Amino acid sequence: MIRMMKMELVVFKKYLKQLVLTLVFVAAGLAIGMGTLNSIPGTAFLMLMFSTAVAGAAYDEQNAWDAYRLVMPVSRRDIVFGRYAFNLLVACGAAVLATAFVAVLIGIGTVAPLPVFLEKIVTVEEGELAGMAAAFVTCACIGLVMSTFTLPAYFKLGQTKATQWLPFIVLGISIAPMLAIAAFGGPLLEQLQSVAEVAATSNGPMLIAIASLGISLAAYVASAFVAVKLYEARDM
Amino acid sequence: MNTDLPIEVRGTTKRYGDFTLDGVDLAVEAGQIVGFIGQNGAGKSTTIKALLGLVGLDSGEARILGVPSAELARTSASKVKERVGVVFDTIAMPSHLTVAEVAQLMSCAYSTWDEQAFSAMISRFKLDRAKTVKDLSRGMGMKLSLACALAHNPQVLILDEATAGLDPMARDEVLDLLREFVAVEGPNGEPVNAILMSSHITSDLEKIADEIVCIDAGKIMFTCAKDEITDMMGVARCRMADMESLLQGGALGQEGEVRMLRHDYGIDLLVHDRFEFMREHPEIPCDRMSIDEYMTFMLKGEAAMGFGLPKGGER
Repeated sequence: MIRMMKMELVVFKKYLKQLVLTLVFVAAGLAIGMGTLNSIPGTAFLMLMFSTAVAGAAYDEQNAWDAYRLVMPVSRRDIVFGRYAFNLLVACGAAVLATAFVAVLIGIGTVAPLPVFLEKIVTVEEGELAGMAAAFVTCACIGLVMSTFTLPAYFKLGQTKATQWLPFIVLGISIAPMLAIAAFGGPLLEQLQSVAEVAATSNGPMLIAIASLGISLAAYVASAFVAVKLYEARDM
Repeated sequence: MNTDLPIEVRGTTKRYGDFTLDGVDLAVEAGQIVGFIGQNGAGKSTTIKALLGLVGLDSGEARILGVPSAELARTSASKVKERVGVVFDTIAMPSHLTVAEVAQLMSCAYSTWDEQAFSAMISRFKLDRAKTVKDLSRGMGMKLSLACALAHNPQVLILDEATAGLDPMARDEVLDLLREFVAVEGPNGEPVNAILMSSHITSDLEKIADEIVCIDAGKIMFTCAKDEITDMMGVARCRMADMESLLQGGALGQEGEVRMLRHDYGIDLLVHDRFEFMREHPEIPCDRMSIDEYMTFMLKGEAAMGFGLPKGGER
């Protein structure tokens, strides 16, 4: 798996540099547009998680690279686990970098006089750190759940075929909660209500955030095992 | 199966919707170069993919260095895969990578990667380290693929159209490399390396192959020593009258043994021993056989017995 991750790093090196540059522009746009730095770490995570999943599938199909990689001393299991780990690691790295960037901006805001509109953006008000954490958890859950479904599809079908099916898969995921409510109605709404009650307690939001992140991460890990099975059965 | 053979395929069958690889058998011994020939879509690449474990088999078995192809996909087979060099018919690398990055990638993949050997080969092939894969011509790309395959000290080389796109001089250079590779000996002077090489350029195989395996429509049509084809066999350029006299004299042997190709101007006859044939029939021109011609005889020719000669020895 480590071997595969090293290979991914070589393949992705140029693209990651481009993504970091893009992220700077996206972060600036978000900060100015929303008037806060809250969403930057979460956006960095989401952007990298999504971009590496799509780009990885695209690179795999270039010049039959996916078939050639299989004749190298890596197993199909190594390839799948390596990609899942690489994508997560890179996304976490981007979130850490973005957090450091935000911290530096906040630091500058506390020691140097800035124009009013910039000062407003970089000043941390009460509850903003909690907001930043909430934004990160939301983005992380979205990123992990998206990859939970897209990565096995890419490993099973390859990018070209998976791209034809993914819109339907994403649509299915989007309407699944509504279908579940329609199907199970009362009991499910009661459960949701109890979650809302937990959220209203002092430790509630943190508990829900940890649970959501845990569930998303568990789904991501389970998805890796499913992807291994799918990839092992695929003829290249 | 003989697990000592570097490459062995026995009864390999793989069914697709409109194509079946049907009970393919082939073997490559240490010190041997086996040329794998056939028309487009005959099953060469599918056989190679089956051998490398890239496609699952419906039945039969394929082994590289004693390891079944199905196990090559597992982590436990990594050590064996270190000893297998592969060149596909495309430059199978992401196109944005430079030659230097390809070397970096290969060094991550292979613990046996020899950077010095790679550098020597790219200098020999005049490859620019800064060029990206997408900027390389097909020929230069194949040289890069070959350098990659050779620079991790493999014991087995599997080449799928590796000399396609190379100019004649570069092809000779590559063939020299392959000869050097297969000439490597073990501590007791025994051959250790082996090559399976699929190619449409049969003139290359005539220069280096020891054995020729031909596949057509998913079935092996013949396996024959290359020297037997090029050194012993011949093409007798017969007129109708010559054929008639050969038939009457019983010179064509058992029914179905001899094959012929009809032309507007006469009949070409496959002769298994051209020297004997020329001694016995000095009046009939008999040329040296090429692999291409032998393949044509076997795939498109017909049995020489009962072929229905026109009456009166018509030419």
